[in-house]
Amino acid sequence: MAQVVLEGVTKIFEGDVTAAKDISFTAQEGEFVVLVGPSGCGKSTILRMIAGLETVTEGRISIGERVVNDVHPKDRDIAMVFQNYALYPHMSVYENMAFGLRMRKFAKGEIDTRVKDVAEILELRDYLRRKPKALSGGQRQRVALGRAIVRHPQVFLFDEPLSNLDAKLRVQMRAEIAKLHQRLGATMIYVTHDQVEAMTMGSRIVVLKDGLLQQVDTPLNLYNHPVNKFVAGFIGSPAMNFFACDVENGAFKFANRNIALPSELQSRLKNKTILGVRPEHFQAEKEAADGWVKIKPLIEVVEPMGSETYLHFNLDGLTGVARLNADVPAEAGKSFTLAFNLNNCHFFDAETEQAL
Amino acid sequence: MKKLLLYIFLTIFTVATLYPILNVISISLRPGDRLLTTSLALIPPDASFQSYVRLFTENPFLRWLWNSTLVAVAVTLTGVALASTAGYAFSRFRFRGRNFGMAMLLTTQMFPATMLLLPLFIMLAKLHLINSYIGIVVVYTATALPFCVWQMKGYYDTIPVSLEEAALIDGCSRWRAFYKIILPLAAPALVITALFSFLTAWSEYIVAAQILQSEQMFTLPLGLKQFQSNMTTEWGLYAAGSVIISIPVIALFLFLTRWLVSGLTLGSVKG
Repeated sequence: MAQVVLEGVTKIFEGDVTAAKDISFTAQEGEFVVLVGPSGCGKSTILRMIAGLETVTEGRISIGERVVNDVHPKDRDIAMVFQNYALYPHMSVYENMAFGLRMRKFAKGEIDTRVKDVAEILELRDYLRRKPKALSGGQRQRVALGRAIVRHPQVFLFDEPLSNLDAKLRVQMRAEIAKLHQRLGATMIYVTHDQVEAMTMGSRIVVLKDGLLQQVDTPLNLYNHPVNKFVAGFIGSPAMNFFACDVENGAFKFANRNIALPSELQSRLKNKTILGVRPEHFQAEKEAADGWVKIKPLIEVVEPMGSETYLHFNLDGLTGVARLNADVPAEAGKSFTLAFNLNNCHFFDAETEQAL
Repeated sequence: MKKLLLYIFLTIFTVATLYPILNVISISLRPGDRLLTTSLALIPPDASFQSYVRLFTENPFLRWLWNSTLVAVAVTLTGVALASTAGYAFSRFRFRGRNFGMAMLLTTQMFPATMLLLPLFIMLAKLHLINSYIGIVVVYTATALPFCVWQMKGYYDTIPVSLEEAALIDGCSRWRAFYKIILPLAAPALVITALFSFLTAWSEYIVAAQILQSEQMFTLPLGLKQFQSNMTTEWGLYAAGSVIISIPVIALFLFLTRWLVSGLTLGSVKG
């Protein structure tokens, strides 16, 4: 086990494309850190720099006590699981898993024990003689995991390992990887574009956008205290609703109404402010307490999810989503009163988009 | 009706393909030089292996066979070694002159070998490589390489880069990842390269005629031509030689086709 430290890491590709800029964070020993962001945010590039598959333009990456900027991937003592599995097609499952150990000149008996142990954990025992092409997607993914686990590396790197699996298998593998982390207690760095994966798996999450680090925090802190509008909108599903509004004389104008602000908010807000309300923070009128803001938008679409219902609403041109109990008596095409507590809301500077 | 036409069409082409081959075999079995007999018998009534015996006893045919084998094997080995590595570099690395290099390789294919005969001869003469195997191996390899490099590069392009990256992380050096992982997967392309290189060297006449001058150094095509003189042609010997020349090619082809299977990378990555 080892910690991974990134200090001011920048990657500029040929043609002056900046993929990652001044990225600093630490994955502690045994921690499960998730890098998340939309495609093109640089998360895979950062992972590949940690793996040694891309050079570092500026900054420092250390694994354990050692700076690894110029260390060959094979000498970094890491294992990586690729999005497309990258199994060796001409080798059997057994050989695929044993390959890394053979390259490191392990004794035959040791290799055999390790491969069989891991095959047992991953339920691959019956497939050891098969070639990858004779396996299903989920089994291939498990072989890819197995190939990483047998090595007992200091750090595991995952590059969107579940994105090629179907939804059901993905949930299953997500749990398996989480179990694996508990069992091995190894440092893991996991890249995904799926915020649900990030929230459910990460001990800490690194949110990235356009090659810039936005926020590093625990899942709940990201959800409750996003530092800017991007993080607020990215974490949580359905995404947070944003409404632009003007603040004047201790009140903010929202949907042609003046809403008085509690005193502690007054000093924080600027003239141009974006109000952020999570869909789950809307309530039906009857469940609202005193002092909550009430709006009466037109419901455009009702999406019953079974356990809850999503209401897509339109309030004088402002659109949003509310997430309410399954039995909410709203109907599409009619208006419905929604309420929310200002204390649950987020406010962002309209210019900088930073949280206020 | 459509099927009938198809069969007629196919039959005509099969006959057109097979007739010359059968005819050569037939001629090789005729005693003397009866080239223009009208008999259609594949095995003539008085068939004999006389031509074959004379080929080996009265002529340095064995020597030529050995020469040809030496040259063709050398060209094949050099061709495979250079094309597999050069193709890999063109496929995987981004370096200055990469596109230019690829274009130049293609450009060389536009000129017929005969056009290059004179400059090649002058170059080799200056290098004292006339009448030497090194000279002819260099020329043959250079002729075969552009095509081989291109097709190796094309094949490598279809092998996912993540396989090498996985190998690097698994503990391979760049070179080891290449020959442990990529090369075995590129077997079909290597086979094509080997066959192409071998055939380039095995049956070539014009360049060999310029470079190899002593009869002791002749390759098979040059040797065969020896049977043709101003006045007469030893058709029996000629035909027997042709039959023998084609045997190694057929054998090599049959031997290598087992690796000519597609879909070797199937299952490595999600398609």
